[in-house]
Amino acid sequence: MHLFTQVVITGLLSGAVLSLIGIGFTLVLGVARIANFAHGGFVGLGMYAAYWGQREYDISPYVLVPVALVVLIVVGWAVADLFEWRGSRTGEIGELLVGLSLLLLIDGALELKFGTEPKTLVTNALGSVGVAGLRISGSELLAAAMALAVGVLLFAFIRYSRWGRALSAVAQNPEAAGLYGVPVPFARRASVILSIVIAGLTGLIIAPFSIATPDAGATFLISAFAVVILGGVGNTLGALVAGLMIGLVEAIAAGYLPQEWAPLAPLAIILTYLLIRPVKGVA
Amino acid sequence: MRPVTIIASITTCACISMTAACGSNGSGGGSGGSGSVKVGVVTDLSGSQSAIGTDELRGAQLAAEEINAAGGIKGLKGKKIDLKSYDTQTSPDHAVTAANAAVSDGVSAIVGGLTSDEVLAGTNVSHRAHIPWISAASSEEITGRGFDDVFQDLPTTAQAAQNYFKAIEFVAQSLDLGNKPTASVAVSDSTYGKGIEEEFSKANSGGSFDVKDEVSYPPTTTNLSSVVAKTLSKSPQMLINLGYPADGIAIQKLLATKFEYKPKVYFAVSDVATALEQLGSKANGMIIPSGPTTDFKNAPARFLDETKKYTAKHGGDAMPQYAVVGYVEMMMVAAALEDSGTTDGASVAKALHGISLDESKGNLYPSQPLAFNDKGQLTDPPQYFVQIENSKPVPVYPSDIAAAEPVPYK
Repeated sequence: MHLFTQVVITGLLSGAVLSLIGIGFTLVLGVARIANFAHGGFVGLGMYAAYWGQREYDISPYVLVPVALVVLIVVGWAVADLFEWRGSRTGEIGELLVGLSLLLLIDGALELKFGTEPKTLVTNALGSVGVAGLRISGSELLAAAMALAVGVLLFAFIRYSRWGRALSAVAQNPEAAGLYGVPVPFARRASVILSIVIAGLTGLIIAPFSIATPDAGATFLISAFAVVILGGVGNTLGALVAGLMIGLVEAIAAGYLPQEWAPLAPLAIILTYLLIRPVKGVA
Repeated sequence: MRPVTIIASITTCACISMTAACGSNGSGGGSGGSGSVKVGVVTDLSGSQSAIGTDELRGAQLAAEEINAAGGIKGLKGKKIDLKSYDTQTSPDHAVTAANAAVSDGVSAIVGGLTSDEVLAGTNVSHRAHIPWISAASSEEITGRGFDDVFQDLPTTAQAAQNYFKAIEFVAQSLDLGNKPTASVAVSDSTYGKGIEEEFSKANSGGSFDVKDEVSYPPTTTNLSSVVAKTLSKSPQMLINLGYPADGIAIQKLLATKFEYKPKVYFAVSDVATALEQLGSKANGMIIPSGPTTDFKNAPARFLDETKKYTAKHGGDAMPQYAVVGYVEMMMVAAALEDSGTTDGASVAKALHGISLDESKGNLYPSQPLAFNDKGQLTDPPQYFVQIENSKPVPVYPSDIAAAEPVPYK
């Protein structure tokens, strides 16, 4: 058996999923300064949409991507408005409560529609490759590629493009950015929409190799926080690396550490990093 | 209104309510009028376990209808069963409310309840009123508190773990895996998983299996890939999952789609219907505990009849496991009412300790007559095992119900 190779591969693949979830979360936290608690809920929605599409209409999750894109932009727009509306009246607490309410609403709606039994898809639409005694599905490779592309492209966009630098300016000092002509409300709205689109599409892409439960949103939220802590607020490249690192450490710990210690390994890494890292803002 | 007046009014109302409640509970159970005897079904009609809770209620209703159609409880001069249902909402808090409502309504017995927490909470109420309660929840604690009016009609955690061990031992022998087959065990790091694992280890204290690896995982684990990689790393002949049904299905999916190494046996504490619904043909090879099915060799005629009646009324092609549970629970209560000849809860509880429910009295399981031991647990709890083959459950253990020999996992 190839235990080490297997845990490294499975760790990197599960880490890529954590990265994808973390990238959207860190973007909206960095630019709009909103801790969108509903972020994981949108990942869960994407997973159930994939399940529903295949079970009810025998549609592959990948075929749903264009439709999902349009729906997510519309939903993202509405959610951004909701954040703006509550934020302008009750500040950050109001925004937090909007996110939390949306998370509970999504979890409850999913439970009502699909029940509490975990749901899983069995599809081999993208084929698979064999490595070290493992079959790696095309869906997993697609998720890893998507994480890599989204993380790097967003980082490059924020760092090097005019619009990206405007987003960065909003993240660092919204008032000053506004005085320099940056449309701050638009930038905040764009970051919320983009993060929700990434979250929803992540759910669709990972559905074929994941287990969906109505409370998955809360689990993903915790993962997203871990990625942001390790990768830095607003740093999409940091989120990519952090997600991969957490996935890898979790997998190696599960494979080699005594069972009592394995769950603590990623937390130990995060704690150590928090103690030694410099404070970083948006990339 | 002055505060003193308000407090006085509230106190008066509370006293009146308590007096009324005491009046209806005083006898510790009773009849619902001259022509009927009330029986409560306290179970999960909403919340996470509502699907199987509804099955349980439907099974109990089917039994009550048959008893009433046959002339009611003969020992009570033909009194009819007046079935009353109460929703626990799959929550211990609501189970207490539901149990209080059942006691206030003057039921003579309660059946139902699926999760241990809610049954533990609810039976605290019924015990105080001396009302017997039969439930399918598995915790040892339910009947371990010394309450003589609490009963469990499915295997407890310890009984189930011993049955799993015997089933796996049988499968290993059938597949000729050698004198001491190697096994890896994946255990949910939960009270439930640890409880089963502890009893399973006790059963294996003689060393029937050579356990190469025991991997524990937190119940919140969403990706079990690393856990499966570790359990397979020593090439065990058998992989055993002692966890929740969803874990067993997740591991099966990984075995079927991700890992090239296949053990000869994969056993999971899972659910047949869910596994088939979620995985389809990818569930093939799994060995899973099961309720009775019409595919059993020598399936009791009464079970086949009741399955026809149930499916005619509720659709589907099988009588769900918890519908069988609800039916048998109601028949147990009916047998105890017949034997005791009274609607008094304490007397019904006493009679339950002495029942012997055979097929003629409503036992749908292909087993010896159902009887309770002193603790209130079944002396020979029914438990069966199937292997998924060609997307269908095939009974493989025990041999008196087996329709086929187990086959190696592929």
